[in-house]
Amino acid sequence: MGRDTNSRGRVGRRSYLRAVGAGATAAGLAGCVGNLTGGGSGEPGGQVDDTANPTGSYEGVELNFATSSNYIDAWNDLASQFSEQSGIEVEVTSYAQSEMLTQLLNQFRAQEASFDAFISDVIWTGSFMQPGFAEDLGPYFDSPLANADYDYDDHLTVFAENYGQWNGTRYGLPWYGDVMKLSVRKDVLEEHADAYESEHDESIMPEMFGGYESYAKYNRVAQFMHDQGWDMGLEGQRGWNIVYYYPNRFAAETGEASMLDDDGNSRLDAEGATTALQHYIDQVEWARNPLSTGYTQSRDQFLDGNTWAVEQWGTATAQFIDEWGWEEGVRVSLTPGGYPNLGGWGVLLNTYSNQEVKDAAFLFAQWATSKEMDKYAFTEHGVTPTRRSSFTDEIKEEYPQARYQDPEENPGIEQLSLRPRNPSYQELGDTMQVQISDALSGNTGAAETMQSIHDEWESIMSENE
Amino acid sequence: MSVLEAVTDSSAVRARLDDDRTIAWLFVAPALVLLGLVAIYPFAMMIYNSLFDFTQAGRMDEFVGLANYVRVLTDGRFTSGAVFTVGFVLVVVTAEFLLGLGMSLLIYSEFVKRRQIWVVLSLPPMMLSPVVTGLTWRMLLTPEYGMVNHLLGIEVAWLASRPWSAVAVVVADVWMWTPLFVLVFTATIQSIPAVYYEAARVDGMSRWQQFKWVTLPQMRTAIAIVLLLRVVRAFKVFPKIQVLTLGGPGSYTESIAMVTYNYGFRFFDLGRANAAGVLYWLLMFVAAYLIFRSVAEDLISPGGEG
Repeated sequence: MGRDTNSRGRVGRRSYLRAVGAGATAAGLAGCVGNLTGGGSGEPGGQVDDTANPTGSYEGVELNFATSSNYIDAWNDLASQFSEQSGIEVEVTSYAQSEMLTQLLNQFRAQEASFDAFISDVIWTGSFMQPGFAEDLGPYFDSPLANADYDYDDHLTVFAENYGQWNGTRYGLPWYGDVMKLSVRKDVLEEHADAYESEHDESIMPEMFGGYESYAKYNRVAQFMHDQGWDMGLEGQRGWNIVYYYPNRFAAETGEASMLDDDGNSRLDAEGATTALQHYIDQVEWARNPLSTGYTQSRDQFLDGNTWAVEQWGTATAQFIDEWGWEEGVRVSLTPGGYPNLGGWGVLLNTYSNQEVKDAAFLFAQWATSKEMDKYAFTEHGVTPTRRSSFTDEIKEEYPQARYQDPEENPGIEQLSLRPRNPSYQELGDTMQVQISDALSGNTGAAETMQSIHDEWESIMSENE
Repeated sequence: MSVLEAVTDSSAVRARLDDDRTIAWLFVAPALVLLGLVAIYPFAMMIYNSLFDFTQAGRMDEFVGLANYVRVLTDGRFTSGAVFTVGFVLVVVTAEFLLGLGMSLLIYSEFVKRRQIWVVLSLPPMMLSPVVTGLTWRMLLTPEYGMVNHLLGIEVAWLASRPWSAVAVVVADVWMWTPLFVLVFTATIQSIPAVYYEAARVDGMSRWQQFKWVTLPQMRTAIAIVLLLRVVRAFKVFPKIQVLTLGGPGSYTESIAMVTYNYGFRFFDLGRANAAGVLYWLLMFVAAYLIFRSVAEDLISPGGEG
């Protein structure tokens, strides 16, 4: 029979008080242990014994690397090779891409980030660099850790600046040089070439690699092809896709790469900004389920042979080429008007890690973005190169899509449209996607939408000054 | 302190520990501490933080008074999110209540055998997470390969056009939560003593009168509880919409929880997020208060039956 709870004996009460006391002590200790983690000081490369082999001084060091789950295979491979070569243990943790920025920033805010190095989408870089979460790599390149053969200037300037620099300071190393492309079904267009030319007195085919000279021309072809029973691919679903589709059009119409000027003022009140949106809205009529189409759907539509054209990123384009054949079934060109949007990634270090781990993380980042690994990541994992030296004849012969990215062959690749890279990007982009989504669904007109976005951008930028 | 004083103090402590009220407080204390830590303290901090601006690094910056509240209340996204959420709550809870009640009465009608099986069969939607529910309905409603358009032979952008995206969100929620009403209502109907109905029949009551004067009054407590649970839960709607429509087209199906989340975890504007959180809480408080006043006030008042 159990003890009557109403008897409230001394033993039970004392046990209870003891348990409460023990709990409080445990909680206190847990707090102390928690405070012991993180931090660290010292100079970069301070513990290097042999400048000819800096990696040797970090054998046995363990570091954690954070990546988007989209690139987990590539980074697991790189980490395992590096660990084997260097003796530095690299543990790779992946995050869902849609949640990665939030999760990383929340850890940074607590100053207890669980990772020592990480990849950052080009549009997140400001969020890490401006508040001081990412480590300034300048001192590392001046330390014994720097590899003399690294050749930083070999990275395309547009990648080096956008993936790794903030106000002239170098915080990151370029890793994945992704740029938007227009892919068209060359075989399908050829079937309709004569009919189009007789009707419009111009070629239906986009130039290799220059593409269509404008969105007006692209729209003429799109309307014609729609009448022939072929829809274009168009990402009009509410989401971040809108914030890379619109800049392609904005820059093409205004000739300005960035939607903000150097002082952070919005350029969205320009006439070309409205024309750009009008082109986007017009395309809804000639596209396949545009309001329900995002990155994945537009890729699958093209792969399934249901669309004749689509603006897409590198990984999808490689799949298109595999499916339809380079210059047989598919032609890859700049987006109309010649300002494809810049995507891609850089590798950054966590400034809150201790110095020994940061040193090891720098060695890993430097190795992973070296000339050799830039080529390796492309050929083995489809990670588009960021370095000029990677576009060798052998590589271009085996992987013809690399020709699109080679500035020697396609100079247009260095003229890109840019999304705002500052810490307010999340809010700027959010208001843009919501309002353009509204316009695409026919609820608002182009002019009023752009004026409204312009006003909101001005307000956001002034609040965050 | 002398030895005598120490002994006296020790006895006083023991006497206090033997007091029933002290013991009661000590047993309640962990719950109070927990409540304080996870509910009262964070809520107080939310109000406090809502009066400050924060840096991008998440550090408290300057005192701004009610400026964050002004920013939130003048943000069209927040107000339209609030309107959508209130409308959503009214529609889904009403639909779930009526469907749940109807299904429960049907299950307990004379035409249905093996009632427990029907109740159990109705439960699976409620057991799924909102994300899975959202994904399931997204697959059904997507225009590219969705079964709904295929079966109906139509081409509707269910998840990206007005008013269909709102309809899709409501249907998914009603599908998921009607079983809760069925479960609670069938259990309640089952517990109503048969003698009440016999007495009603002796008094010559029709079926409708029996429902009105016997069934409904006996279900009042259950109705109040399940309505309160659902209203509070429906106010928090987020993952289902995030998966189904992302709040679109535009901000047409954006809920107040999504807007508040955006302030805090996408824009990293903690001052504004805290202010939105306080307003969000106020809205839920008013809704809960109205439910209690209209349905269940006497159940919890001192002279009430509860």
